[in-house]
Amino acid sequence: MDKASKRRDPIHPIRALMVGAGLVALFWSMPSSGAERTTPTAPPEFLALKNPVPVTPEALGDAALLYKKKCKKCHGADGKGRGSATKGMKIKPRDYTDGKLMSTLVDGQLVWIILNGSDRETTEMEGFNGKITDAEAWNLVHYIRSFAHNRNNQEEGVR
Amino acid sequence: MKKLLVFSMFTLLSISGLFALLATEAEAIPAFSRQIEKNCTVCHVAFPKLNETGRIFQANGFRFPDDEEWQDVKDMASLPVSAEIEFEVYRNSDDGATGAKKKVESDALVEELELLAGAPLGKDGKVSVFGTLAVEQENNQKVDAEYATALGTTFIQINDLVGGTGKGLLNARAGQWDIALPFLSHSQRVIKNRYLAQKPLGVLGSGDGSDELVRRAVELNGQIAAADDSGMPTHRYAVGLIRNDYENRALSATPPATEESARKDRLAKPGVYGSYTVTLAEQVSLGVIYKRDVTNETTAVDPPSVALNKYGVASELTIGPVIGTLGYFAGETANNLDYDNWLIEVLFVPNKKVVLGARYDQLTREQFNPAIETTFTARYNILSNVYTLVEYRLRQDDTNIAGSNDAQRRGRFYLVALF
Repeated sequence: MDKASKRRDPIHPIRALMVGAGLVALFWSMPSSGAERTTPTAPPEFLALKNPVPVTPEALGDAALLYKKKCKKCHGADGKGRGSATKGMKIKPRDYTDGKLMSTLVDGQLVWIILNGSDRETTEMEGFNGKITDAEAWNLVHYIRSFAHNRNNQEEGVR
Repeated sequence: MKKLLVFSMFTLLSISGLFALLATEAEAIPAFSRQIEKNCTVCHVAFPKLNETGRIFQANGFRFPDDEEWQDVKDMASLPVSAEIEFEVYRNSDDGATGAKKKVESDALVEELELLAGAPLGKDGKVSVFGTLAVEQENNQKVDAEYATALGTTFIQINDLVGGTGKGLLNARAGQWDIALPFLSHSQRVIKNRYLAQKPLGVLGSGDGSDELVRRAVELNGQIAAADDSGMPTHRYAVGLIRNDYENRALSATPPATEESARKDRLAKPGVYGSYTVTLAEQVSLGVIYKRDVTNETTAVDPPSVALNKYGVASELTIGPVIGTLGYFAGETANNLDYDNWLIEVLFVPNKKVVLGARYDQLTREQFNPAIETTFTARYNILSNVYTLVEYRLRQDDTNIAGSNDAQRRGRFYLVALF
């Protein structure tokens, strides 16, 4: 039998698309981790802590260098949480320039997340315990807060 | 000798698996992850498939634009070497001719041991290098196949020929790699089965009957990455010259009389290729690729040089945990029996542990019955660097246009560790 005579209609792309759509519907109906922020809360003893490191230009300078090395690719140079390593993240890092948000996060919560990390299932924030010192972590808290202060000052300046 | 090699590989696998299971997650991650101090999932949807962050990092010579300087690999503490071991169990079956017995073959083997190294060099990251060396089965899934050592993706890239440091606006690359689209390539398959756009068609990867995925090439590439929260699209582009692939002879109407004649003067007329991809809102990618493959062969019938046009267009859409890919590819052949290929793939990634996938791949060729491959995959990540995978593929190809006489039904189990 010659090959041409054996030829039959190929499966139409529309039919293939329908198979694809059916698979999407099937997968969609399955349970999955929602893209909701589930940041763990620090233990009470941490929440009660105030930043023990005084704010000085030197401390902020050291923290800026550390932020650039360890934090910037995710949290961004401007602290808005849109660094170049966040493109694939369903939940982006928080916006540190949001003064209202930052006022709800106490120092102890911030330092605990820096040292212990956030929710591993929904975020990529890993703890830096053992990689940086406690003093450096507290310095970072000052630096993180400076984003909202700077934005606030800029907005007041405009007014 | 072969038994010794297999025994050595098993021993290595067992030891590495034990280490992987005992090690903490943060310690047991491969080289790039160690360099950037981030988990694999920052760059991968599911290893090896890249997300948008991974694509930016890769195209940019393994650098994040936010980093203004890079760790020098002269620092031995950050030696950028990883290894991957794949253990595989498979079962292939074919219906025999009418009245004949069903043909079945199965085996368990170390499918591959691969060493990978890559990094930007120097603090300004002006030059990036990447290389892989694999010990793998010579003939995929043939019982008692021999092992061979092969160089995989290996290249040198000079970064930032124009524009600021770390932006990757224009780079020059030379070496051999999987020439494809940033979001659709063989080196990023989660579903292990190969794309039909590769082997028979040669649009993605090497192709033209070759088992190899890489092509030797020189390339200018680059990207214009969207600013952090601008909402602007990211553009990626590449143009290059490819060396004549020896395996191109499979597409000639008349194969060369001897291998000697086919091997002559491969650079006489190099092939060319180009690709462009745009990504919107980190969720939608649309890419086009064109290749002009040239066969520099002298035979009694064929002219010394045959140029074959091949092209493809594909898109990827991410909605929540679902990633859908749709592609159309086409290619000329020397005997004018051209190929068309439709591809639909859906991945469901509900969390960092589980991946489910399905693919429908259809190849048509003038005067032949179509070849259809349907593949289903389920994967479980034991650790961020160790996973198991079960895959089932059904193939319909009664006139063997997809090549290699692969089995009609194929079940595979994998245990893969990276460290």
